[in-house]
Amino acid sequence: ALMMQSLKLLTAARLVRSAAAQQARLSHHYIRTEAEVKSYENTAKMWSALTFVAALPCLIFGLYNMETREHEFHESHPDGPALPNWEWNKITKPFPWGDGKQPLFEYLFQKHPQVYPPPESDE
Amino acid sequence: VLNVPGYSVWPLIGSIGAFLITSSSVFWWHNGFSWLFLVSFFVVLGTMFFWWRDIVNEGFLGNHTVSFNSYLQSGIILFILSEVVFFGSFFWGFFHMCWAPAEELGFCWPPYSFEEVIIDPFSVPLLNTIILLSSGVTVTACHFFILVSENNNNWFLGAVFWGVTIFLGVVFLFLQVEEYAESYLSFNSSVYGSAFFILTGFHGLHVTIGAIALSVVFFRFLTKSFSNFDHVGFEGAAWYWHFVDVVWLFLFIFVYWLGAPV
Repeated sequence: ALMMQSLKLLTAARLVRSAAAQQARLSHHYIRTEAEVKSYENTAKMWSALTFVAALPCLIFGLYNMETREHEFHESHPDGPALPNWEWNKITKPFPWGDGKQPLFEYLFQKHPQVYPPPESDE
Repeated sequence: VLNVPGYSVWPLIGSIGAFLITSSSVFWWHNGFSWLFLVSFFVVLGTMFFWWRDIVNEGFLGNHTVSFNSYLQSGIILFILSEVVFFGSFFWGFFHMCWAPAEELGFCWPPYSFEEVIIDPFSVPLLNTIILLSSGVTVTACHFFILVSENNNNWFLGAVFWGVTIFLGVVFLFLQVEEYAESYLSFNSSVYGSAFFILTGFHGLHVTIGAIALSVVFFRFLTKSFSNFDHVGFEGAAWYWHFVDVVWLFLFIFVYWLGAPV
């Protein structure tokens, strides 16, 4: 009988606690305690500090690293990279733009060949 | 008691527009450019504008209680989940091809002779990863500044971080477009080109969509549509931006980094 009484008390307490928690969740959006506002402000300050302390140095490093690698690649490959096998590059159906022979970004920017003709010696 | 808004014509018009977009695209690829494609594209764009304008106006009328906002958020989360499985399908195809490379490719990935033309993962892609992760940091900072913005400097700081986020997104897109233009590979470069460009191309499209979403919500923020406790539009755009960031992390690790030769 004592156990049943204590069990009833525990479930009642849990129900009251969860009802209060739900009330807090639903109402806290525009009724805020000073502690809540302070914690949000601190989090905002933390994330803004992180952008200058973590994100900005990483961005600068990323930029420097990219420029270095690109420079090294262009120095070591003055004639460009070795082009892939033309066999896997054939166009069997024309593209729906231009004369149909150029992939989209080759057609738009005209920078590097993206489709290669077969080697003369083979055909 | 559910707070259900009234009847709307936009779902019907939107679905008609989506159907016309897809079928006119197929017509374009087989028979040359189709003006119906342009028309249907603007129909879908118009649906987005008018439908979401209706939602915003319902908010001003008082429908957006705390519980209703949770329904809006659930809708946005479900949409993002659908995008997750959308990318999942292309990742499945990519993994199918790269974990068991066919004889035609030389039983290796990247295919034989592709080693020098694939993008160096620790050059531009690493910078792009850092850019997107930094934009995730700035959008979080922006969110917390908005949460405590009450006629003080925090509103202005939130706007500044928001602008930085959009700027970083645009820089990312600019770098990707430059990579595509400078590349010696294209969509038809064997299955590598197909898998790589469908994944990175759709990701770039989603970054564009995310940047446009952030910009539109930014405009609404600047015209004082939001309060520091009711900004579901911003939260949705920010979640979408985090999703785009996560997809890029998967792309960077599995497509750029592990898809490159050792």
